[in-house]
Amino acid sequence: MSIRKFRYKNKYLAASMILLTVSMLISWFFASNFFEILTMDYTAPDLDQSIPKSTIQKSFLESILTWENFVDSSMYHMIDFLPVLVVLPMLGFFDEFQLYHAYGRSRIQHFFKYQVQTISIYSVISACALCLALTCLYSIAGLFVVRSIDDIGGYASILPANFYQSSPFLFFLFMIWTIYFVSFFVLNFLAGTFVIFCHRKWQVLILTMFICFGSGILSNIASFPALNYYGTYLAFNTEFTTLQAFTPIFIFMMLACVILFILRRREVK
Amino acid sequence: MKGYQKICFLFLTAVLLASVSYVYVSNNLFQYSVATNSQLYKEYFVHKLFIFPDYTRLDYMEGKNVFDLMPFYFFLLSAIVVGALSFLSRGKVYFQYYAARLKTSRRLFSRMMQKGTYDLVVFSLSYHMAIICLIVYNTFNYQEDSQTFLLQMVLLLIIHTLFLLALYRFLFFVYLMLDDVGFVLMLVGVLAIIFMINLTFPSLSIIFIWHDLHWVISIIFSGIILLLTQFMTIFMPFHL
Repeated sequence: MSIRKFRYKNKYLAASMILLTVSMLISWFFASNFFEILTMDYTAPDLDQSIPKSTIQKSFLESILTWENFVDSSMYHMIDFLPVLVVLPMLGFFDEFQLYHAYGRSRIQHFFKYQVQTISIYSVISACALCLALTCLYSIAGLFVVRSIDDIGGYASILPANFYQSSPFLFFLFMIWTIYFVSFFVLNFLAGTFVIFCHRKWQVLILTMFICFGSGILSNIASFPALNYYGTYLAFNTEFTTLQAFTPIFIFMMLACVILFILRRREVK
Repeated sequence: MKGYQKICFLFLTAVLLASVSYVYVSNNLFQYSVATNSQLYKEYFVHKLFIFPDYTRLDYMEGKNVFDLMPFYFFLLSAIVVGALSFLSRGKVYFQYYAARLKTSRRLFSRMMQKGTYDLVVFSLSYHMAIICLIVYNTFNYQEDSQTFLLQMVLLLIIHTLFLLALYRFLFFVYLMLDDVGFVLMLVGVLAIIFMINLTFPSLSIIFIWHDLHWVISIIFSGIILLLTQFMTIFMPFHL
């Protein structure tokens, strides 16, 4: 079927990959004190003037070029609007859904099943693409940065001991292709269910964003950190074990299934 | 919904959001006071809620935490969305009938923005009033006295409302140029960029709090953008 090629030739997919990479780089540039080191005053009285400027700059740069600093600061400024970038490829499904909705609900057999299949395919494609973008960024950054701490926290608990100490890059790859992949998939799946009953594109983006904010604020008020969806994007700095970190994703998947169940009952037969 | 119903709805939403943010902030502050065994003041709530990024001197700000920025970001975002609902929910096609009847594009744009402006101001005012009430009637002491506190809160109300108005008018023209997806992306992006600039240069306080006359820069910034959008109302074309 020729409509399938539009699932890959999707302008929103490319836009979200590029925007994700660029905004992570900008966030790292400002949040990791790199900008401050470039522009700071090297003639200040509390610096030793006998040491040349390049030596001081080099020692400062060495202190910030670490894996932990890179991963933490690249998320710092963009985590507030990360759900919008993640959900952006799902607008391709919005266009496709508008194309055949009126025709398909009376002609295609098992139309609801077909929709769920399409949403899943879109979610897998977008999660793969975003994880690929992240992998590229981390592999390029890995050439310049080194490890500075020995223990990364709870998320490495399923891996053998001293795994992070011996190979930090493999740990981050493991993090991207497990928890990031699943959380991107589930958020896209949730947005796909919104596409079925929303009439405009902005509603999908704003609804997803408000639900993520709601989960973050509710988790703080109820002092129940497992509800916080942003916590999954900070898996490199968490107290939870590997399996506990998946609880917010599980709750969001339940929410998506409930919405799908309600929509299933409304279907025309 | 129209008239008083809408205003009641906006008021209730803003009060709900304000109380949720207040509980969010006070949870963090109580944890801090239990851990360090220190006393809390009413100003601490304001500083935590509307971000005082002096992390080296103020101990209770607890460093650069991402989740501390969330309630404020969420308030700005929802205020703009509440304002923008008036033209986002109708779509551009709806306004071609206005465009056919009104003589100049300036009148058209002011008509398109009018309802959203009222909504936004009502939302922002009720949010700040709710925050003031919640903080004044809690059981903690003032760090200075009640008059300086109220003056500071009124100044914050003015600068936040002016900033939101300027951003709303700017994003309206973004909506005309790019479509609704561009509007949402620019909205979240511009807010994040302003947060980023303000955190890297804290003395250039565009929306956050800083020592002394921090509100002057904010008012100048909002004024420049308002002036810019005033020019845009004259020279922007309207097309579908």
